[in-house]
Amino acid sequence: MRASGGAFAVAVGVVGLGLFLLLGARGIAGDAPYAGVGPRAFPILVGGALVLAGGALLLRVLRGRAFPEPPRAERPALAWILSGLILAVLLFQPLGFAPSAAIAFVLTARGFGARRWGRGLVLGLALGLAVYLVFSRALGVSLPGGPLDWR
Amino acid sequence: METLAALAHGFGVALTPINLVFAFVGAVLGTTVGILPGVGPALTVALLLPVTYNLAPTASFIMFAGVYYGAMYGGSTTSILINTPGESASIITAVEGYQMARRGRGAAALATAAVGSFVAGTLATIGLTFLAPLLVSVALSFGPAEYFCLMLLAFTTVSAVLGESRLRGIMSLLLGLALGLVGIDTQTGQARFTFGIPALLDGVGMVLVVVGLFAVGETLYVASHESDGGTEVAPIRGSVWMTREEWRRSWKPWLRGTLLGFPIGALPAGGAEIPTFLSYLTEKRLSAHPEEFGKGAIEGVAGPEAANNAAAAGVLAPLLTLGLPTSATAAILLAAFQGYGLQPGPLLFERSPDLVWGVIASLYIGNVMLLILNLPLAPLWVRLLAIPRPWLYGGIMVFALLGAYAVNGSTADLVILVVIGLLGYVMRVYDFPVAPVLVGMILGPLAEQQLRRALAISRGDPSVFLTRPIAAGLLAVTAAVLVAPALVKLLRRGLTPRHTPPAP
Repeated sequence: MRASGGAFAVAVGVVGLGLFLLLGARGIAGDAPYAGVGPRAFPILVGGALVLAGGALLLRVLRGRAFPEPPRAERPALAWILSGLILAVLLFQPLGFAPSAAIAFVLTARGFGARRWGRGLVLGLALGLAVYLVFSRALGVSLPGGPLDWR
Repeated sequence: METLAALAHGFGVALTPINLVFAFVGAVLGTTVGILPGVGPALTVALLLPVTYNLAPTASFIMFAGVYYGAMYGGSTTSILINTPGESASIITAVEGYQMARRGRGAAALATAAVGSFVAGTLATIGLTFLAPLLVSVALSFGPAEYFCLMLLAFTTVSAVLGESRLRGIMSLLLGLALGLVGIDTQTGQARFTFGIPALLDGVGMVLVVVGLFAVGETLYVASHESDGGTEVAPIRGSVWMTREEWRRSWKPWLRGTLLGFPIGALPAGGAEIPTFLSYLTEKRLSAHPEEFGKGAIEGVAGPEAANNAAAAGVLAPLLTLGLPTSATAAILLAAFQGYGLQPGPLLFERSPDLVWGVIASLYIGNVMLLILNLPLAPLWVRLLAIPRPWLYGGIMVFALLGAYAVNGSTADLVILVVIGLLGYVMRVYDFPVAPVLVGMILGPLAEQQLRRALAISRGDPSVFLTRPIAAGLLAVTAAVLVAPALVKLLRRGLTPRHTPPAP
């Protein structure tokens, strides 16, 4: 079964989402006002279809006929980029847009194999600052400025 | 004649200096994102949305139209020079175009792609101009039952026809429908699947989903699976002007590509992948030099590129007249309309003729701008390909953060962005198509609304879907689309000697 472990997980996830919708639909109050369909029907329909589709995939996995297992991912690249994103989200409000954008930039670049941290940081900060100035000051999009929040 | 008057009026709108500027900005942005790998028109429109809510809708949509057409032009440049399709409809172009470039005919390949895109784009826009009013007059007779059946057909074709596996397409669609359920039920005001989080009452934002799937998911995938993607740019050699021979071999594929692309794009099946592929096969069969195919046949660039642009115009017909999106970009455009409180459909032509006809007219103008931008200036655009991948994808992440935050100014949205990005990564790894998610998400709530209206009108009698002829016909087509592939497979199995079927 090793060969299709990923497909198995996907199938279980799809069935799980379907069950989640079916269970969640029970909590939706309010029936149809009169003959017709209420707010509950569509979630049940979608949830049921998800369970069926996930079940079909599960069946294929058990028969060994699921889609081919993709090549192995390079985990370090994923880790670099995700940590960059998570840091940027956490620091978004306290540090402001430009610095957190620079963090996401530098760690994403590292995920793509760039090793020149200094250069990445300078580029990331420059880009973050430019985007901040253009979008926040000129185009009226509200972005946290962090220390740049001068008036 | 009425159509021509409306179009003339549209040109009056599109030719105002400010709208010309927006068309130009859109064309430049579109070409840029078409050329850059990893960024496409859907993502670009999503990122532009928060900025454009301060603009008039006509100006915004003229710019979006430029982005949409421009990305088609730009995508071919990338395919030809680095064999990396900028967007899925350019995959076929990459096959022959890159071979041409390696054999020193890159300039001719770029030229036939650009001129072919122009010819097809213009002809297909003419087609759109005259098809749209026809569709509007048909659509005016549609009630909720017909709309629901039409959406059902669109769901089926988008998820079951496109892509490798129907099961995966259907799962993508269902995921989109599930995402569309989040928020306040439009009929009863009930909150559904909001988990008590106020931010979810308005639903999961379309921009967030597009940015998460296309920017974050794609970046994670490329970094972890295509790390060796050395981008060897083939130099542009040869004259930008095609020889007489190249013209002779190009013009028929352009026209045939247009004939394939526009109708297929305009069908609720939508998408540009099928017509480009069909065009390639047609040209290969009709060519006087079939042996050149696979080694850089100019027909293999001219036909698919024309088909690709014609299909892009075709997709706009059901979007504008029926409110029916059949591609990822069309789905985000529909979301953009809704953001302005507009609902595409027959009434849009009555209520906002300035907008609709202004946008259609701007498509003609945009095509001319794009031909000028892309043909003589190709060597300039190619420099964009020199951006090292770490910086390019780092930049994409910066814009992803910007786009996700800018819609509501909420940090919670950034968390959702990361979650959807991870989801997009898993989908990309297991080759799930993305377009059905977006179409399901945007069309799901509308389909539910039409279903409930139809049943309320019929007092709960589901036979309305069978007794109204148009609705029943649409259901029959839907059933045919679902059953046909299985039937073909069965027939084939009956005709050919038994062999083990390939894994689905």
